[in-house]
Amino acid sequence: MSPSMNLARKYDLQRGTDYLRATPDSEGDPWDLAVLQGRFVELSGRSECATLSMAASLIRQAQLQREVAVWIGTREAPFYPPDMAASGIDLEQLPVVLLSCAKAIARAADLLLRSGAFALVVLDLGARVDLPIAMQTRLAGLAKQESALLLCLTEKSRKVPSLSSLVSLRAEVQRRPLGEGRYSCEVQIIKDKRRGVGLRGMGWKHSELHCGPAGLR
Amino acid sequence: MDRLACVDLPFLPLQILLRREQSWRSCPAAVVESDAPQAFILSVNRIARRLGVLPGMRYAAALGLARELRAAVVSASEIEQCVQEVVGELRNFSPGVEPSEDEPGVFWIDARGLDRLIPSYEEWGRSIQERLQQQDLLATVVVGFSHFGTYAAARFQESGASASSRRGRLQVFGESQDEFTQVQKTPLAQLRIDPATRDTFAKLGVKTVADLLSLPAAGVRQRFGEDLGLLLKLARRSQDIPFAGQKPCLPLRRELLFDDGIDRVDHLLQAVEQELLPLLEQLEESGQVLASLTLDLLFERSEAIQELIRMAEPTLEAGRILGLVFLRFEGLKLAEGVIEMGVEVQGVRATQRQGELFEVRPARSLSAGNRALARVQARFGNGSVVHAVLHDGHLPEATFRWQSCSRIEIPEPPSVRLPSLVRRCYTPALVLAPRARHEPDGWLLGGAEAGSVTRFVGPYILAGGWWARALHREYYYAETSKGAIYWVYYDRSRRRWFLQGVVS
Repeated sequence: MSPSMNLARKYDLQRGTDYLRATPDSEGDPWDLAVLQGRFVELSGRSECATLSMAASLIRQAQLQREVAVWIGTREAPFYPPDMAASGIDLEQLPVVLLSCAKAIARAADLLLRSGAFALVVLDLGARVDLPIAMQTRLAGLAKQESALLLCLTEKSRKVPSLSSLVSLRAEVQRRPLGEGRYSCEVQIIKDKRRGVGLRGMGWKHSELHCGPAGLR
Repeated sequence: MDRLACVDLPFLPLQILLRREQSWRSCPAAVVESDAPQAFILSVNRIARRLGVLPGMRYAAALGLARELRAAVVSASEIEQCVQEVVGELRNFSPGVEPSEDEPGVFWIDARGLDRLIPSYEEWGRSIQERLQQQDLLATVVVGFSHFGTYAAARFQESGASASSRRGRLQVFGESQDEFTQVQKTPLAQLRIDPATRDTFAKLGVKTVADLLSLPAAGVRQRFGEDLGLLLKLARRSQDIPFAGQKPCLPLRRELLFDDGIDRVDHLLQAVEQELLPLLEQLEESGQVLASLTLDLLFERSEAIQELIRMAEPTLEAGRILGLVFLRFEGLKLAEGVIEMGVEVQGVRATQRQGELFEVRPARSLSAGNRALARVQARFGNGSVVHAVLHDGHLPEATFRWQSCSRIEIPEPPSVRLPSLVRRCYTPALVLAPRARHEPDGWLLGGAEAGSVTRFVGPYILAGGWWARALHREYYYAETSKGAIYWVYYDRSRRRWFLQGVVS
């Protein structure tokens, strides 16, 4: 290894203090595309979850920053487009890849991440979590290399383990009704490798206010 | 003559870096242009300079001279934030503050009419320096009569002194002639002149402002351009730039009176939302983004409560702001009803990263994205890469269709007051098992884990098509005890329940 590579690595270690400067309260707000880019994130939830809504929030952030996001999911149960439009998303510039199984979803993600053109790649895996480790390793590496956020949406409770140890950040989303058609969607961090938060640790929280879909407003 | 002060924060990016990393003050430290080993060094502190590290070197080369060299990038948004912070501090000394557009770290303060309010300009200048020192910033203050004169005097150093030894100075010119005399001694190397022009001047033996003033103005303008022509005019005092203070971002406030008092947190939140959205629109119109929100809650008997919510990054996104308000109110215990509430928003100027006006971010290639989508389409078949197109339809499945996505462009998302929750839509809708006549555990729509249905919202009836195939669907939202919300409908013609989707 050349001396300059050694020097670069030393520089990265010195920069590591940046990541430890945690802002655990929500006013620090680490749930931001700029902070999450380059990471493999799993967003999960069960009955009262709001995973699609929080994914839409990140897509909107990307679009507001004039970046392109892509959605990869299954043909049988995609998101409902009028709700995405009501969340402030430009549907025409949100490419959606509709496939049949988790492996195909992962292969498509590989092709899209490799291009470096997408700031956010959403994999809507649902309840099926059979993503091979080798594929996850490749996808996590590509996300880091291209500074893209790889966001996997899964349907599981917080007690069920993450997709794998490669997941850099695992969060659970819960939805709480506030009355008058308003809902608070809260992202509770379960695991954050960069901030040293584990299952026993106190994870930070991020909250957003949403209105209900048509009929619930 | 009108008085003016120039406040110069030398090497502002380096000062910001050392303020951020206090432990680096005793180490060699540098600001680099990017986070890479071959990045150029932009400025260095004294310790690094003594070890031979100079601006213009590459970081990797500098590490060879100073093994303990610490370096980091200081972003444009950090610099802008610091500039606005300094403007805020300087406004305590005069309402007119003008930050330099070309050189962050240089400010002019309008000192007209202050001679009757302040004991002396020396004390005034010293107070400015002390105030900035409390923010860990070092500044040189020069009180004079013109933009250029005070700026050149702030930049002036005795010959032989190194740039890094430039400490905060205070200088007050009693007469404009004194200012002019000082300006003439200023070396051109200490002013912001194009390096190539400066080198040309050096070859011609033009090294100070006095040498520059001896040149014919028309010739300078013709050979070196209008910018240098203007500089010559300013140096000759034949022209000064009119003071253009930055308008302060005044807070916007709304007051609400509640006749019956509000003692429920969710009602308070609704009231905040109602007042906040128009305030955000006002901020947007004036080119600002929200930096902080102050909520004042007044009671009849109890003590008033003030909550200050600061945004990590200024924004106009109502959903995020209200999310923070909700988290703050969550732990609030109201002993009695709120009779009056004040909502005050403080904005800051939108930088290029904030608000709705974004410049194109570099680095991502749309054509590479289009090629990747084409590869996915080729791999998985036509119809695998689509985008949604909305239609005016009654049935949920008729309100949109998937259309082949041939190419992508820069997105232009619409603005929304509050984002909506998104439903997952099953196509086709899933047939549910018939409901038993008796349901001792309630209707377990999503299984035992999701809990039994506790509430129905609806019906929303969609009926028609009598001329072809009659259709009658009664849509409901079924909420369960565990908080799940299912989107279901009862099809009268088929006498079956269907699961159209779920709110997620």
